[in-house]
Amino acid sequence: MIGGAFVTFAASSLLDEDGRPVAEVGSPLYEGVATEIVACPYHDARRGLPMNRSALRQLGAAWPSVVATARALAGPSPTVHAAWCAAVVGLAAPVVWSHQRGGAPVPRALSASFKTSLGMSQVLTALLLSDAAMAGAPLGSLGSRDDFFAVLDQGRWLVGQDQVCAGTPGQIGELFDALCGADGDAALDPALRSLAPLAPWRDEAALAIARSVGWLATLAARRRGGVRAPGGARGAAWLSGDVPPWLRAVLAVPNRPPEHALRLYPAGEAPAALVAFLTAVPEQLDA
Amino acid sequence: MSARALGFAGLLLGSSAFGAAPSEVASIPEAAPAAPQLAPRWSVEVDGDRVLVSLHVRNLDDAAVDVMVARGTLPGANVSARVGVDTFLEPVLSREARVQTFSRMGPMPRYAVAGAGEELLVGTWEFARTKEQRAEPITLEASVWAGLDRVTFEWTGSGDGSPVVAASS
Repeated sequence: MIGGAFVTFAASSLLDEDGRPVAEVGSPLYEGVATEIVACPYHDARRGLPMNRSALRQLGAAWPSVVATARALAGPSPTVHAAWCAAVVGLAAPVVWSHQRGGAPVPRALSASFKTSLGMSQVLTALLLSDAAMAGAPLGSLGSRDDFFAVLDQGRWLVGQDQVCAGTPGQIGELFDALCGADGDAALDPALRSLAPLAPWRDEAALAIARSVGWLATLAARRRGGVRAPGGARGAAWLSGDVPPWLRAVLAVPNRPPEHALRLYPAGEAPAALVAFLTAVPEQLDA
Repeated sequence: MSARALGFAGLLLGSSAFGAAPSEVASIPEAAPAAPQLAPRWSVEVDGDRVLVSLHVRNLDDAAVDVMVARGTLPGANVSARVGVDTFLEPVLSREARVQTFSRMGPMPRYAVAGAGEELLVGTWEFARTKEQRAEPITLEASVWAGLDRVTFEWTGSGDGSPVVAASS
């Protein structure tokens, strides 16, 4: 259920209970809602760039639930992989909600968690891909919340390619601490709890991300090998909207082999379906 | 590798520099290619409270290079404009561009091939400034994606749009 829909961001077509599009301006529904845009006031790399204050207000209203949910999902002493899985849940939950509730508006707490999980999953995916041992490492062992924020800021993760994160530095640090398993309230939001069991669709969504990483890395390897983005069907696949552009940042490291998608999981724990997919992709492209 | 040896460095390598992480470099036999050599050509015009900027880059290498020329309807390069030390001018964006700017999915990038010696337009920008800022010097900073590298340029000029320091890379 989740796979294809998740990768193509079905969440972009969903509205939440406040009438806001879950994916904000990434949604075709954005045109129909009033949104306050301001210059970012934070003293970091985002300063002066356009920022969505309306989305930030909604996030603030749901913030205690967002943090408590993240802490509950991550568990008491989470690895980087476990923290990534927590973010994947937040990312996929609106789609699952809509599917199970016949298109009912997404609860505010799930909509807010989606926004924070989108950024956090992007960063954690990049972290996991950076080293084969990362998946099994405790997230808290990598550094403090201040270290984390400094790296995000220095690496322009909060801006990306013109994409401004509206979260305050304090919120980002608090969410990081929650994903590290720091002490505090840990409880799933009731709306999320109603979607239990979480594990089946969480694992399906995680696999969809891993397949996307493998797919993009394969295309990048072909491009390095002199195969330019061609016309026709293969060109369409190359630039297809089915490829999630937000994952491209994690492929910025040159020469990354497609099998690095296995790094999203602890050693030896990657799903067999991912291994099979990575084997099949080159054959599909050559067909 | 033990968990203690790990850290956040991979985020810096993977996000902005388009550089290779040490573990990745060690796995390939040949050295990574040098960053493309590009020369900028800025065009800056001022119209009251508006600053209009366009940027071309010329490929100084013998080999062709792929240059990002657009991301959706946004320019391919990133350009920021500031006056004073840390006051950034707000970019004037169309409704469509705002939508793409805020999307974490991001607009789809488009590349064009710059042959040896060839010049490409990598974007035009419009920034808003206040009446008080009209007399202040303007600094423009650009990031251009070429091949797998990010190349940066800076331009400094007076409030009337004339350069006071030659464009540099």
